[in-house]
Amino acid sequence: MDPRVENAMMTTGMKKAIDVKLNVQPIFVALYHEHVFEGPCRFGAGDELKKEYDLALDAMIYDRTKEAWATMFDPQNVNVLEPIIIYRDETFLTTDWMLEEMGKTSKETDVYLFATASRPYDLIVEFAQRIGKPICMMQDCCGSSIVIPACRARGVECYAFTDVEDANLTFSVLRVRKALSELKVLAVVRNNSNVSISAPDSFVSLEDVTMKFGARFRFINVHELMDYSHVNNDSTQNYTTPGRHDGMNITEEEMKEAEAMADEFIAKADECHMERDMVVNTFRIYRTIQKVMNAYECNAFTAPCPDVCATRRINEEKFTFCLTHTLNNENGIPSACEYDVPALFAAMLLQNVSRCPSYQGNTITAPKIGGIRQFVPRGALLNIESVQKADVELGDLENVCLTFHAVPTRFPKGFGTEMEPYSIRSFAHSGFGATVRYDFKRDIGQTITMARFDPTGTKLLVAKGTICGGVGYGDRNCSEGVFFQVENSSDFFQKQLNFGNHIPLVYGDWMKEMIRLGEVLGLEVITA
Amino acid sequence: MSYLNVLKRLKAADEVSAAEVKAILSMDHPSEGQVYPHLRGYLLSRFLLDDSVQTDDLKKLVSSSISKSLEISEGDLDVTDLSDRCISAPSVETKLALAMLKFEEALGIKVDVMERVNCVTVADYAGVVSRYL
Repeated sequence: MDPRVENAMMTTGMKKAIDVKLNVQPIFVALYHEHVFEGPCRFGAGDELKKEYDLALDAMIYDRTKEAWATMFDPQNVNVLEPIIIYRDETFLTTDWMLEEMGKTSKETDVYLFATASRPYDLIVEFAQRIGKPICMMQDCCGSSIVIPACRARGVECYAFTDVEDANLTFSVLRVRKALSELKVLAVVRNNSNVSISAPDSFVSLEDVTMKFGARFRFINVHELMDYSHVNNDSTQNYTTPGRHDGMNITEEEMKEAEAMADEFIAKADECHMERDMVVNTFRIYRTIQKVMNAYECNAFTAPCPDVCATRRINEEKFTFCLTHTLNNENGIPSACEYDVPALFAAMLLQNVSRCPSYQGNTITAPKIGGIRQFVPRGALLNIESVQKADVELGDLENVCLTFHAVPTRFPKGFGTEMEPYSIRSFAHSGFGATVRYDFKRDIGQTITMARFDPTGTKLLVAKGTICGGVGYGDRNCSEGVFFQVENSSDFFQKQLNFGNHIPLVYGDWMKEMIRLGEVLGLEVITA
Repeated sequence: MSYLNVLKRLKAADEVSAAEVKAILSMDHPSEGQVYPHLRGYLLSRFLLDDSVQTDDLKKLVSSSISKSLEISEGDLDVTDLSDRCISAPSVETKLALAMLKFEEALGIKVDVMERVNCVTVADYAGVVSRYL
C-alpha cells in the first residue's frame, strides 16, 4: 500500500497536557573588537583593547551563562535547548547567516532567551521581528530595558525577568499556554456541537476558541460512543456504524481490563455502596472513552450529560460519565461535566499550574439569611438531612459558597500524591453510575483556587477561598460538595454572573500564577 | 604599603613570572606535570599571592588576589564584584583573562578560547598549555 495511505490512519495516541514542556532556546550574542582603539563605548587599556581579550572574556561569560541556563529553570516545565552563540564585531553587521543560525531550531523552539556580551540590541530586535516567537531576557544593564520596549513597540511578545523565580513563573505559565494550544478535546455530541442544553454558559463559539487559544475539538456522536461501549470483538456489528471494520467497540480483553480496574477501585475504597456489576458497568464506558480518546489523539474530554440523559440511553446502559471525569482528571486529562468547555479549559489551566487534579461543580453562594442557608438545594439534588447537618456545622459563618458535583478527586493534593480515603456510591438512586465520594470536611482550612473563562473567551475569573465544610459524602447523585469561604460572597456572586455556573477548583493558593497566566493568554483577569 | 614598596613588589613579581616562563621554555615539549609548578608560580606572582594559598581553582586564585588587595573578604568580593564593563564581565574574569593571555603571549602560543574557558584549575590549564608547547 502507498505509505501515504497507511500514514493516514497512524496516530500518536494521547499526549497529556501536563507532560508538555516549554522549549527554551538560549542565544548568546557576543561582541569582539577587530581593532585596537578606545572610545566612548569601549573602555580599557593595553591588552584589554585586543581582540583576543574580547574573545577570551566572551568565552568566559558564555561558559558561565550556559552553566546557569542548564540549572536555573524548573525541568518539569522547561526544556532548555543547546545554546547558540553568535559573534559580531564592531562593524555591527546583521547578516542573514546570523539570523538563520539564531533561528535554526525555530521549529521546536517556543521561546528565545537572550544573553549578551555588549550591545547587540539591534540584532535581537530584527531577529525577534522575523522569527515571530516570544523572546525574553534576564534583567541586565541595560539591554533588557532597551530590547524589550523596542520589541514590544514592534508587536513582538517579550519578557524580561528580575530574577530566576520571575523567569520560572513566566516560563511555567507560557508552558501552560502551550499545553492549552495543544489541547484536543473529545467532545461528545447529541444535537448541538457548540453548547449543550444544560450549559449555554459555555463558549459562545468553539471556533473562536480554537482561533484564540489553539485548542481543538474532535466531536463524536453520543450514540456512536454508547455503541462502542458494547463488548464486541467484531466492530462491523456496531449498530451505529454497521459494516465498518474500523469501529472502536471495546473487545473482550479490554472489558477484562475494565473489570480489573473496577475491582481495584472497589478494593481501595473505604466503603462501597454499590453492586459490583454496576461499578464494572461504569468502567465499561470509561474504558471505551479511553479507547476513543487514544484513537482520536485527544487529551481532554467532555460530554453533555443532560442531553444524553434525555435520550434515556444512560438509564438503559446503566452508567454515568461522573467517574470518567474523576479518573480523567486524576490522570491529568482535563474532563468536564455537561459539555461545559469554559470549565474544562479552566480546569486544564488549574491542573497544569498546580499539578493537582481539579474538582468542578455547580457553584453558588450560600449566605445565611433569617437563620437559613439560602440557595442550597434541599431535596432530590442534595439530601435534606445532609444539608441540615451542614447548616449546623457551618454555624453563622459568613461569605460561604458551595460547589457541588459528584466528580471529586482522590488526589486533591497533587498528581502522584498519596490517595485520600473515599467511598463509592451510585449516582442514580436505582443503583447505577459509580461515583467517588470524598469527605471535604477532612480538609477544613485548606486554601483553594478557582477559575473559569467567560462565555466570550475574553475574561478569566480567578478566585481564592478556604474550605469550611463538606456535604454529600454519604449520599447519591450530584450532592457531593465542598463549602468554602471567600472574602466577599456578594462580590464573588456578582463577578460569577459574568462567567458561569461550574467553577473548577484546585487545592492551594495559585492566584499569582493564574493571574499571570490569564495575562499571557491575553485575557481580562477578574479576581475575587 | 608605600608607593615605592608597591613598585618594588610588582618588579619582584615580574621577575618571578619571567623566570617561570623561562623555565617552561627551556624544556622540550614539557608535560603537564612539568608545566604545572611553573604555571602555578607564574600565576601566584602575577596575582601577588604567596605559597600559603592552597586553592588550585583559577577563579579562586584571582578572588584571593583581588580581595587581598582591596582588604575585603572573598565573600564580600562575590557580592560587590559586579560588571564594570559593557560586556558584563566581573573583575575576577577580566583579571584572569588578562593573566592567561599574558602567559600565552610570553610562551608564544595561542590557546583556543573554548579550551581555555574549560580550564577550572591550574592543573587543567597546565594540561592545555603543555599540548601547545
